[in-house]
This record gives sequence, C-alpha cells and structure tokens, in this order.
Amino acid sequence: MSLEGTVEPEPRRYRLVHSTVYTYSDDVTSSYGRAHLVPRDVPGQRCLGTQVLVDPPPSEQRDHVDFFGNRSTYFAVDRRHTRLTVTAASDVEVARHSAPTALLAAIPWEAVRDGLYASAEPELLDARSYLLGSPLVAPGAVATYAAPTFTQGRSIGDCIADLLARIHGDFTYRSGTTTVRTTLPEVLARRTGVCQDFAHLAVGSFRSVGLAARYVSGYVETRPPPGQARLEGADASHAWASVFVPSLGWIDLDPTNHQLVDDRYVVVAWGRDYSDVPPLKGVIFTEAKKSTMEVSVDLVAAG
Amino acid sequence: MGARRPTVQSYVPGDGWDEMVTAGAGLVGPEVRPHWSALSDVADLLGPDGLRRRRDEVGRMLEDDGVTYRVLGSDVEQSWALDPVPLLVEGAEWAALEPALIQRTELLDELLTDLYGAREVLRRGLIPPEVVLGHDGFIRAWDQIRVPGPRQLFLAACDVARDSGGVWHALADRTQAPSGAGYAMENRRVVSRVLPGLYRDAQIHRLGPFFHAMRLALQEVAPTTSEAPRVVLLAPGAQSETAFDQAFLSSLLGYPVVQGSDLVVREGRLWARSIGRMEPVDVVLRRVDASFSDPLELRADSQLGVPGLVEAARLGTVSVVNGLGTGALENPALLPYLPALSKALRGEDLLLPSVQTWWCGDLLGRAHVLARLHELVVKPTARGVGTQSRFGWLLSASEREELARRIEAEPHAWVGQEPLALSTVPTVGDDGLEPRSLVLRSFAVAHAGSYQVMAGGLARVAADRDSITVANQAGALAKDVWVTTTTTVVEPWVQEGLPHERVTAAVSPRVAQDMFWLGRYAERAEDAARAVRAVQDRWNDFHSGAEPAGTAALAVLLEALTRVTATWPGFAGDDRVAEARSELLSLVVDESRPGTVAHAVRRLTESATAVRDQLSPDTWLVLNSMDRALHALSRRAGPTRGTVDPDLVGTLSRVLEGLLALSGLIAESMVRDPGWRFLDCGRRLERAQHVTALLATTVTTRRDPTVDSLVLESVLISAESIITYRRRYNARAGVDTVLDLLLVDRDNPRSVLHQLDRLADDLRQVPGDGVRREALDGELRECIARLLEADTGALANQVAGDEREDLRDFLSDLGRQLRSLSTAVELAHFSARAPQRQLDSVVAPSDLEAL
Repeated sequence: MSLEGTVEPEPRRYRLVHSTVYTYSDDVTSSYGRAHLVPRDVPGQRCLGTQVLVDPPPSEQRDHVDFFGNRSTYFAVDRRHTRLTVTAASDVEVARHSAPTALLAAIPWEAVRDGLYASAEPELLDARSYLLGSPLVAPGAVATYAAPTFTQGRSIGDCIADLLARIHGDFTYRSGTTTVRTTLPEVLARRTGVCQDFAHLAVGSFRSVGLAARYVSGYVETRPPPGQARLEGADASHAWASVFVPSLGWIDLDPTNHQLVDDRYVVVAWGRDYSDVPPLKGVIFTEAKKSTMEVSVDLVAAG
Repeated sequence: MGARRPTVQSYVPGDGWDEMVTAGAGLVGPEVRPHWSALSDVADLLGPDGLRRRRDEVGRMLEDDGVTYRVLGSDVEQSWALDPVPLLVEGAEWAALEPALIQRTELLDELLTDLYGAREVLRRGLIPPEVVLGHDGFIRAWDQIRVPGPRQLFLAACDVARDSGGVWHALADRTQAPSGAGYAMENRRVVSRVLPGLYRDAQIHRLGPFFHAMRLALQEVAPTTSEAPRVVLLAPGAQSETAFDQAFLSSLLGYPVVQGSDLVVREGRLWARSIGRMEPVDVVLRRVDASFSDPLELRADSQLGVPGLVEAARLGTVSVVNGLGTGALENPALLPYLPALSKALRGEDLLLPSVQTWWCGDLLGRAHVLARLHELVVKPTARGVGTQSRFGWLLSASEREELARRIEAEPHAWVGQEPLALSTVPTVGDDGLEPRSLVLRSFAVAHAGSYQVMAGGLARVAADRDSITVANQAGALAKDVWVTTTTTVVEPWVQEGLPHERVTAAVSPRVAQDMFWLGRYAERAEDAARAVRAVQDRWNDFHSGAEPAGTAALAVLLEALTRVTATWPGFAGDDRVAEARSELLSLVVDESRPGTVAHAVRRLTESATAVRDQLSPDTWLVLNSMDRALHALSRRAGPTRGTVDPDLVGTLSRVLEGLLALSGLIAESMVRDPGWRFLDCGRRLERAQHVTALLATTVTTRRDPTVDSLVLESVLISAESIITYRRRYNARAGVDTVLDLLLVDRDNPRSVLHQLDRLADDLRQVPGDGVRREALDGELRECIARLLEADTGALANQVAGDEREDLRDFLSDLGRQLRSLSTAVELAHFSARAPQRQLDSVVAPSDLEAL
C-alpha cells in the first residue's frame, strides 16, 4: 500500500528557537554536553537551516549522526562560568500527510504484529529492534494496563484511538510531577505525568503486545486561547510515540494531546525511549550546590 | 603409563574425564597420563602432609605479595586462593586448542567490527537483530567507532572446559574488559617457587611472550599520528574486585595505572593530569566497565569514567581497548549462531565448539528450553548483578514455573544450555589429592594482524569436590597452567622489538596525594612506635613508685605520649585512665583508634594499596609482617587485655624492623620521580611535626634536674638521637643542647630544620607554578629562616615561674606553621578537580493541554 499519488499538502514553515539557560551558585570549571536539538529530515519534514550556539563559547563543538540517524551535538566548555546557555535555532518546512486512518481501520492489530516477521526487509528488521524493552520502558511494565485496548481482531486504528482516549482519560497532565528518572510503574501509580511519561506509556503498551514502537522527541505548535496573544517562549519541547505498521510505516500519535501527529508537529529525534534522545544532557565540574534551569521554546509559523 | 603410588593411588577421580588419570576399563585400572608422571612422582614423594605444607606455603606467599580478590559488593579483600598443583596440558593437545582459540577470537572480532559498522550480519539474517540489539553489552553510543589496525577486539578471554569425552568446549566468551592475565602470571610466580625442582625440570611454555605481545599490541593500536604512544591502564581504583590483577598487569606491561579522575578530554583528545602539566594519552587499556567509562554518554552517575572519552575515540585521537562495545560479544545468545557465522564470514568450520545453547527468542529454542527446564542450565543474556545461572535440576517445581513465566515474558533475554560435565583435576585437599571440576580461562591479544594466545591461562577449580560451579564469587581456587613442550624454551632477557621509549612516569595529583600520605603514615607509625617503646621502658623501670624522680618523670612522659599521639583522654586531662598497661597496649594494637601504631599501619597499608603500581612488590612482604606482629600481640593479650605480659616491646621492635625495611625499600628501590618526592614530603612534614610536638609536651616546663634529665633522655631516645647526643655533649642532658640537636642541627636527620631542608629539596624537584606554589615556597622559606634565627640558649634559659614561656610560644608557633605548610603542599599540588555532577535536563513543563 502506497500513499504516492495523493495530493502534496501545502508546506508550512516554522522558525524554531529553543534556548536553555543554566545558572549556578558557584563557578563551573568545565562543562561537557550532548544535545539532540537539530530537527532531522524525515518524509514530510525538511530542516532548511540550523545553528546551535553555546555560550560561553565552547572549545569544541561538533555534530555526528547517531545510531538512530539523529543529529547529535557534542560540546565542551573549559573556561570558568556560572551561566551556560545553549540555543538552537532552526528553520523547518513541514508538509506531513495526515495519517491514513481508513487503512489503519482496516488492519487487525494482530496482522500488524505478525507482519513484522513477513520478510527480512531492512525496514522490518529495523522496526523489530523497537519491540524490545529499553532503559526507561521496562518490558512488561504496562502489560496489564495495555491489555484492554488490544482486544481480539480490533483494527490497529481503533487500538490507537482507544489507547489515546484511555491515556487522556486516565491520566492528568501535571508539570513538575515527574523527573527524567520517573519510572513507568510510578506514573501508573500516580496517574499524573508529563508528555514524556505518556509517550513512554504508549510505547510500552504497544511493545507489550508485540508491536514495534519508538519514542519521538520534537515540538508542537501551540495556539493561544481565542482572543489572547501568543506568549513568547510558551512552547516547549514535546514528546510522543510512534508505532510501526508494515506497509504503512511509522504512525505518530500524541497521547498528551489525544491526537495523531500532523503538520503542526516538528520531529527532532527518535530512539527507544527518552534516554536515547534527551534534548540536552551533560556533565559539569563544580563546587556549586545549586543550579537553576530556564527553558524557552518558540515555534513560530514563518511566512 | 606410570605405575601409581600411595598418594596418587588413593586419588579417586570423578565419573567424567580426569586430567591426570585415565578412566579404567575392565581389568585395567586408571593410569597416570604420561605428561603428569613427573608431577605425580613429586606428589607421592610429598605425601598428604607435604602437599598441605605446600598449600600453606602458597597461602603465605600470596599474602606476602599482597594478592587479593574482592567479592563483588563486599568491602573486604580476600586473599587469592591458589592450589599448588598446576594443571598440566600436553603440548600436542595445546597445539590443537590454540588455533581453535585464535579462530574463534578472529571470528568474534569480525562480528564485532560488523556490529559497530555495517551490521551486515543482521541485514543478512545471520543473527536475529533482537539477539544483538536487545543485549545490554551493545553500546549504541559506540556505533561506527573504530580503533586503528585490523582488529577491533583487542583482548579476549574465553572460558573453556571439557565434556565427558575430554573435548574442549567454549563455555563463555569474556570480551568486555577481561581480567585474570595478571593473576595467571602471579600464579606462575608462586607455584614455580613452591615446586622449584619440578618447575626447573619441566619443559613448559613461559608466559612472558604473551605480555610482551600485549605491550607491542598496545603500541600498534595507537593513533597513527603519535610517534611514541603513551599508554595508560584505566582502572576503577583500589576498591575494584580485581585491583591486584590491574596493578600487576600494569607493572608487567610497564604502563601506569590511572583512574578516571586522572584523565580529562580537552581540545578533542585525552590527557593525563600530571603534576604541573598535562600529558597526552594515545592508548587506554580499559579495565573500567564500559557503562561506567563515560558519564556523558553512558551511566551519568559514574565517577569512574571520563566525560568526552567516547567523543575523543570517535575522533580517533585516542584508542580505547577494549572498545566500549565489546561487551556485545559476551552475549550467550550468540553461541547458537557462531557455527553458521563462521561458515558465512570465513568459509570455515568452527574449530572450538561452544557448549550447546538455545536462544529463547527463537520459537523452537524456547520450546526446547521450556520442555527441558529440569535438565538445562538457564541464564539471562544480560551481564551483571542478578544474572547468575539457574540449574534446572536444582530448582523446585514452583521455581521452575516462575522461571518459565519469566522466559515467556521476555524470551529474547534468556538462553538454555546443555550442562557440561567438566573434567576433574587433582587438587590438594585435607587428605591428599582430590578431584575438582575445572574451567580454564584462555587469553588472546590482537597482535601482528592475528592473535597471540597465552600459553595456558588461568585455571580455576571448584571450591569443594562436590561443587559444579567454578566462580571466584563462589570461592573457586586458581591453578597455574603448564603447557608442556618438547623443545627447550629460552626466554630472552632483553625482548626484541620494543621501541626504545623512555616514558616519564606521569604522577597525577591523586597519586601524589596518596604518596604524600603514604610517607606521612609510615613516619607516623614509626614515631608512635618509638614513643610508646621509650615510655614503656620508663614504665618498666619506675611504675613501682619506689623512686620519686622516676615516678615524676614517668608521669610527664605518659602525659606527653597522649598529647603527641592525640589520643585523649589517655594520660592527660581530668578523666585520665588509671591502668597504664592497658592504655599502652591500646596505643599499639587498637587499629580503629586514631593515633595508635596499628591505626597508622592500617592507613599506611591503605595508602600503599591505592598506589600499588608505584611500589616494589616487596612492600607487601613488609606490610604483612607488621600486620601479623600486631595481630599476634592483640590475640595474645586476649579480649580482656588481661594479666599475661603480651611482650609489647618485642612487638614494637618487630614493627620498627618492618618500618625500617620499608624506609630501606623507599630509599634504595624507588626512582626519584615526583611520586617519591611527595612521599618524602609527607615523611618530612610528619617528622617535623612530631619532634615539635614531642618538645612542646616535655621541655617547656622546668622540673627538678633529676626528673628533667630522665625526661630529656627519653625524648632523645624517642627522637632516635640519643647516641649522637651522648657522643657530642658528653654531659648530663640540658634543654639548650637538646633544642640544638632536635630543632636546628641541619646535619641531624631527626631535627626539624633537617626536615625542612629536605622538604625544600623535594619541592625543588617537582614541577609546579602558580600563586599557590609561590605561597608554599614563601611559607617554607619563612619557616626555615625562623629556625635559623632561633636562639636556642635564650629559649632554654628564659623561665617564668617554672615555665619556659618563650620556648612554649616558639614551639606552638612552629607547630602551627608546620600544619599550615602541610595544607599549602596539598593546595599547591593535590588540588582535586571540582566534583563531577550531572547537568540535569528535563522536558520542560508547559501548559500544552491548552491546545
């Protein structure tokens, strides 16, 4: 089944600025960082230009393409500083097809599962690597939660819709309730979380029944409530899940916002879970006892 | 086949293959295999008693060499356990095994190269992707990283064992950061000394060539840009399970041991922090577990690694061997695929069979394992804690059900293996030789395009005769392995082909600091021992209270002893102890009490352990002898420290003998590199502080001349200057002349000024600059000037009431200055890097739900 021949959607252009500022209570003698902040090129999305600026100026900064095909940035700052700023600015063009909902409604989820072994096509082999447990999505952790969604013979489209609805209904979005080290059992117990928790929940649910699922890191354009001005920097980095359907490819879904991913979304990087693609991680050397972090993201439609 | 005599006659092998004797058949009883005949003659000659004595001797030698092994998760070091009877392997058999090991290692290397490169083996379906990608040894951050040269697998170990027919099988491949080569060499050293005659007459392969090859190999893998490659061995530190192995390997190779905190990535390459400068590092022989090696890319909480190491390796400016990805090859789920892989990649049959293995991720494999759970060995593919093997036949029905559930839940993470019979090998037991199950760890190092295999390896046998597991964690014994040969083996003294490099020993601030404290504790132990001995002598003379002057002097000395050793309340203050004898004993043996001799000896040993690779192996002989003497005294005194005279002075003499021997080693066997200089700095500062404290607690008060004379004499004895004093002054001791000798006599190696001269000399020899070093130099000059200007006559003669107030102030200032100097040395040279922390990152919260 191919989507070729359908009408190309009108491309949308975004200017994306993601800035992170760390301030420390004492000198940091050196900082080593790794960032996944540069949007990758994927079908329906092109990165037209990008720049990652680190301040103080790093003594080293370079990119490479990582195991998953993401652009990964390394930097090292070896002069003393009490403030570190990492700013990524990119221009992105998005013309994403909407998900083939009619086709998804026609395939039982068991066929999706068994289809992973239909051949040794590279795409299938690659997808199969996302069946396994990963550091933050332990195998079996959400099997009980996921089971009611995957009833016998149900279409994969219905399963996705049901899972989105259940996560939306069962969990409350609450910032600050979880950290990057929160585990899925904790999320299940508390029934609250942030986008990465819900993405992990969805990824784990698919994997628990033998479907290949990955974690996607990126951005979503936010729109102000009617009549209000858009707030600068009010956007944030975002995360969602993607499930592999043989012959249709990866289907992205956003459990936080209870919808399939469309062209208001910008994909940055993907991996098995958050731990493969944190926007920014690092090691610092300091006597400082306290640090604060401020993040601002602007995803603005350009032109 | 040799006839069997008493000891060997009574040896009853197990049911399977035995290394020494053949299985009997019909009327023919078991016979000794020809290559064991010389050894079995020796065993007969020795008899059970002689064998046990050899075993005890081995234990003592290992203790004297400081050979230890730490059980994972324990803070107690255990002595390495070694059986005196070597495993003998016939040359012809080895000649068949060696190429099989080489072939296997080459195959694993080709697999490794592909897994972190094109991943063709997955694409071609030679190995299911889940096998590789689901294993925790597959490090995605290492993708596409290569070391120079044809081989990506630098050092490989393989645990092999025999089936009941005597055929060798691979049990497991150890490729992550294999340990044991150093232990193997130590086993040879000890066994060759315990069975010297047998060793001398035996024609066996030597181990030296393997280490020689490894040394060359480390040079070969260096980045092509470096002309004289610098190599370091990256280790987790003295707390590591196999710290001895690491330090000994480092000394065999001649490359220094470093820890993660000694290294730093700057300007795209790796550097070793050294006193006063940074040294580029070209090759890292890695003994830190991969997941701990770079906190930026892998375990963020690791303090054992170097942030940026993976990036530097990716740039190719440093070669890390084994690479961080090599743990992927330890995956037992690979074993079923190796024969086909060998055919596909090399067009060869696999010569060394693996123990038969089924991967549960495969439908058939899983069905097979679940059906035969009660007779298979089942293990997780992952490495690390909680991943030990389960023996199906030992599990209860409910345990087997639970295991089956876990396998069903995550099939790709489990394998089942056919149990291997394992051969038995004679091992010294309490009643002679007894058979124990054997596993042999072989070692192969990438060299000259292929692999060089250690002739023999590290053999281990089960902890007891009924045990079927052979693991150090389960109390296994090691064995030396002798591979016999018919040709004479000559090991050249000078090994050909080594580059004539002269690598200046890098001394990191961490090593410098440990050396400094090594010097301090050696001196502290000596000072405490001399002080207690001098006071004990006076106590023996005067404790009866018959002589008033003696009694008064004894009281002064007891109080001074408490003060100089800082062991309050002791003999000072209001809650002074009543029982002098038990307090004196405590000052010697209580190792948990700071200020005692035993405490200083313990800290000395700990400091030495931390810098093991810098010290002569004989150091351990000395340290152990002191430890034994102190423990023997503690035992003799009993828990109540009661009535029997435990011979305090005799023990102190033995401790002093040890400390003098240590001083001798330090003076005569150590290169004067910056590490030695800092050791000496520590000793000088400690001695200067001790002498100052000794004077401050004894001579600042004027007493009856008879009392003072006794006190001064003890001070001079304690400061090891009595002979000089008597020769020089030929009179009753006076405070002024004592001050002359102990404070300002530049030629007296016990005087404070002499210590400061030596300190200045040491510091001149270590590189360093910056304001902190200038501050240190300034303080030292000032301190020396103060002593040079001191008018000892005036200080001794100024008395107010009975107090020598000027002297008291002078000594108290001097003590303060010396403490400040010590801090200045630490600030100028040991300043550690700032603590390592994680830069926390969160997916920023926002009100996305407003969407």
